[in-house]
Amino acid sequence: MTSDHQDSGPDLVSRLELDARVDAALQRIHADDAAGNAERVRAGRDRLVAALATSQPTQLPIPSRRRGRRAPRILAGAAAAVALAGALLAVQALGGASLQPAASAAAVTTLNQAAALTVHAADAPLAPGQFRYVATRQVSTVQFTGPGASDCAYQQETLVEVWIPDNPDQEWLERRTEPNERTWVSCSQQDGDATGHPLPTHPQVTERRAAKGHFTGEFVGRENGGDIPLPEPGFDNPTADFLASLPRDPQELYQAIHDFVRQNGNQARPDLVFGAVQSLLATGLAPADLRAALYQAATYIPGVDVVDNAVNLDGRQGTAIGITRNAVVQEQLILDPANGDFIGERSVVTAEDHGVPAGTRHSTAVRTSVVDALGATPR
Amino acid sequence: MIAPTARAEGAGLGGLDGPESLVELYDAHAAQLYNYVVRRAGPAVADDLVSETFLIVWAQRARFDQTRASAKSWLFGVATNLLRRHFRAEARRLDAWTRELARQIHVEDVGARASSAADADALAGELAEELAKLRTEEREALLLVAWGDLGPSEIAEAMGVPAATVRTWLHRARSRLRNRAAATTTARTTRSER
Repeated sequence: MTSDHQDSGPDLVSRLELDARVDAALQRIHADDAAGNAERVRAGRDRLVAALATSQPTQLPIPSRRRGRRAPRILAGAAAAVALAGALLAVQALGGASLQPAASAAAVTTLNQAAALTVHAADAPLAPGQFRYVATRQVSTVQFTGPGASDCAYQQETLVEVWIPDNPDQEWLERRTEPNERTWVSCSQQDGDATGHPLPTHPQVTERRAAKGHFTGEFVGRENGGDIPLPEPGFDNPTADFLASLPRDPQELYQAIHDFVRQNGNQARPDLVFGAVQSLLATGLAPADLRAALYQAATYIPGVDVVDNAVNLDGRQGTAIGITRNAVVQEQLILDPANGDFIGERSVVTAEDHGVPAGTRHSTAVRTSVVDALGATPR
Repeated sequence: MIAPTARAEGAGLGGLDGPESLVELYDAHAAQLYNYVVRRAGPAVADDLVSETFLIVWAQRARFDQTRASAKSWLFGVATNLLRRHFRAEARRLDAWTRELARQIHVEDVGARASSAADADALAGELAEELAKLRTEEREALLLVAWGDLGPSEIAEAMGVPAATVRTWLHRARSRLRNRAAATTTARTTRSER
């Protein structure tokens, strides 16, 4: 039964010892979450008992205290842009009766200007039969322990393309392209191979299709005649529907994101709130009014500043608005100051970290255009 | 208020005839179920998902076959099914955990800590990455053991597959984690010998 090692591991460490190490390590993962839950379990019992006592159990509502305030569905088209521009102006005019901008003055100016430009420009309209094409190019760095003194890391790129029909109730297409090529940034490919580290071998191209963009995971619906429910939209799964439901009032939006971060078991650390803004924008699916509101929501995050006026991401130049995450990592949004466009977001390491040189660790670049057919790419 | 009755734990749901038996079921298994769910999906998801699990079990009690499975297995099966809605969040949580851990190890300076603790943390980070890459059913089986404290036959009941299939999943999952641990150990041993 020891034949499942292909590597030199068993020569040095017995299988039993490895099993013990694996078990011990598994118990460390997310261990904090598994402690001190007695109160939550008791609260769940109280809810269950109360619900059983007062209603038909089969129709019990799922407790909804976590749901953020839902804004009304956004209106379509130019009327919405006008209404929202008015709403944004109203918020600015109030001068922060409840919340004061907390970012640096330069960041507040840049973000507000980008928001104003975004709302006025809106998104290019779609003619019947046309599709909005959203391409997000993600570069991520994977680190693992190398054979020598330095750790190994490579960068890998994923391109996710989404086609959205002019009537979003119709079929959407998502195409994910994961090349197997890797760029080694510390240690060589030979060193990497020598560790026996099992590198993922993705299928080159995978496609998913679904009306309304309700894409499901590869295993969802696999069993039981497909009665597994769709993923629940939320900050952790920002579907188009969820994005549509978010408040457009920047203060409410900031509050909703702040609450989500805190509910997620974290303190509402400013860098985590900023990270949630990054994630929502990085979907590429946020419509213009939501992008504008997200820019303005970021003005309420302490520590946000203009960190670079000339950043190049995926061939486009923009202004980087950033926040320090820790001693070596800075998170950034990259905006085009000329038109308010969201160019992308990235995570930059400012000093050598675990053998990986300073530079961009993760990035997402977003490009949007209009095409005439499902699956067609812009010229 | 619901009066507790003297039904034995794990008696199954064939006798789940009144709301009080659902509360009993909750008292018997909710804490263990919660810890499994919260580790996989996080606190934001766990409260609602555990509640939903019990409501689904209640709604479907007529379909429950007590000769085939224990109530506990059924609960974990329903919860595991519901967790598939959150597979993206789970992958992101593992990734965030790994990144945060790498940051802490870096900030605290590995040399300053007990090396066994540092090694265990480093391995945990690598395994978290590996977990995210496992096939869904292999990860589910592995974590039902590691975090849910279920045995292979209970997992078979929970997931409605033969026990042999579960053992195959567990074998594959553990082989991958063991290989990863072996590669890490080799690298670290090599390093310390230099």
